[in-house]
Amino acid sequence: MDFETTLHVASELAGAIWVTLALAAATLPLGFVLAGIATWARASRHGSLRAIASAYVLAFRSTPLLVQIFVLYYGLSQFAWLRESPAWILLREPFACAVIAMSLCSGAYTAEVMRGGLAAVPKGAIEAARALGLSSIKVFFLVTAPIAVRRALAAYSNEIVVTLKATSLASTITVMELTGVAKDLMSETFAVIQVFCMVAAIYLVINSALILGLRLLEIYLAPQHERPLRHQRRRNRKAEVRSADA
Amino acid sequence: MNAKWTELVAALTLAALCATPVLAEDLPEVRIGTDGGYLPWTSMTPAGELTGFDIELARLVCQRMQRSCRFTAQPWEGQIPALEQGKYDILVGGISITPERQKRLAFTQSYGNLPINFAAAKNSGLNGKSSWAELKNALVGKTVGVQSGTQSQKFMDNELKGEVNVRLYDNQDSLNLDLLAGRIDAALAGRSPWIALTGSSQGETIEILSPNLDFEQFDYLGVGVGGLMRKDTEELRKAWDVALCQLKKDGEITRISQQWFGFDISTKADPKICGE
Repeated sequence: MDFETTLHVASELAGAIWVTLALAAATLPLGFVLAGIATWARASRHGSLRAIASAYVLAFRSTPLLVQIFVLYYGLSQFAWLRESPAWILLREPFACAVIAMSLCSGAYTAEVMRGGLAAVPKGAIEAARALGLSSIKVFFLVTAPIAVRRALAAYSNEIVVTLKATSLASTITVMELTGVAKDLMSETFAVIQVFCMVAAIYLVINSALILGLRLLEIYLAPQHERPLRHQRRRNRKAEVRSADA
Repeated sequence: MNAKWTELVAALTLAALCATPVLAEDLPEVRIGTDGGYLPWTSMTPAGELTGFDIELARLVCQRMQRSCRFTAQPWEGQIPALEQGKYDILVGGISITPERQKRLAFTQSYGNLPINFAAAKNSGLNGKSSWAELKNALVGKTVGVQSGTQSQKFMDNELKGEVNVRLYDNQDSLNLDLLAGRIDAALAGRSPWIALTGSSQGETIEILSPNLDFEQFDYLGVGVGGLMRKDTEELRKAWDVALCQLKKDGEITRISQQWFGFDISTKADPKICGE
């Protein structure tokens, strides 16, 4: 690949990074909200709500995301009544379809992450908070949620990384994100290895930054005694310095 | 234990030595890659068997060359890398002969030629244009779909870059689905898939737009379709060309062309390759 082609490929790929990031940025919050609703419904008193939420999680965890995207994009467009309904304004757009499908899938996985986080909250802590006379909302925000978030963050960071990589499937429904642009560049330049190695490197850099950031957040949120030793020591040293100053 | 292994190795070596002369006489099977989703050139029956103009033609060529051939279906976008890696010996399936591809790869002689056309819904207001300039004006600002890695995409890049909203598809079937759903205002592809689509029951709302676009007006569109090969398989290419010459002379290509396209797409025998 000569210099000019390399430059062309790099600039095309750089433009596509934003589409990939936009897909992930739109998908993750939506998936989080869906997961919250599903988690709430699965803990509901009403059997029918629990059943619907469990069916949703089961269905979207058990089918490939690519199939979900195809059903939503190519499948639903087969119905003439749907094409005449207001929903078509959204479903007409490949980007919106990709976000909807990926959010539904990510929501199902995130619901499982939330379930795991909540299950890790010791019953005793909740009972103690109740015994102190805290309202159930206060118990949730002051006791359950902080513990559950710490327990679930490692698993959720995995979900974030998986979602970012899953955005590559949007290229199958004409969304020109990183992988889609790379496929186009491949047929244009024939430089398969160079183009896809560049793409892999871009994903690697984005995900490494995400993983590092989430790891730091995890350490920041962890209680002192659970931090990895080197972080503990640094903190303690700082604390010692501070106390010496005082 | 050891003795048994030695015996086994000896037996296998002997078997291999005996088998070698037989294998040397037989040429290896020709591995043919094709898309399987590009009617009527190459397509897949519901039973999973490959069929189409190019498949039938390749079978005839293999017969003439007296070699066994094996077909593998793979989406077009990955075919050229697979060919270069040696997974196939030849690719067929409505592949246009272009100078760009000829730089890196080799082509058999051209055996067919079809223009490319835009297609759109009958009520799109894009129909009935008499010249490309007129159609181009009507297309500005519309969303147009095209299969990536095709001559049609090249055309879009050269003639309409920045003026229309381009959507790229992996295959013709997906392009058809979105054209039928109305997600795109028009689509550009070889004339043949449009004939297949408009002739089907779902495609009756779709119309092939005039004018025909071909290499007489846009020279980069190439001189027709051929089999795509690596440059290091000269012998096979020559054998393939000889078989194509015979098939052209016998009118076989015209016959299967009538069957798959409804008219004759065959190109004349190249005198440089076939002789007079």
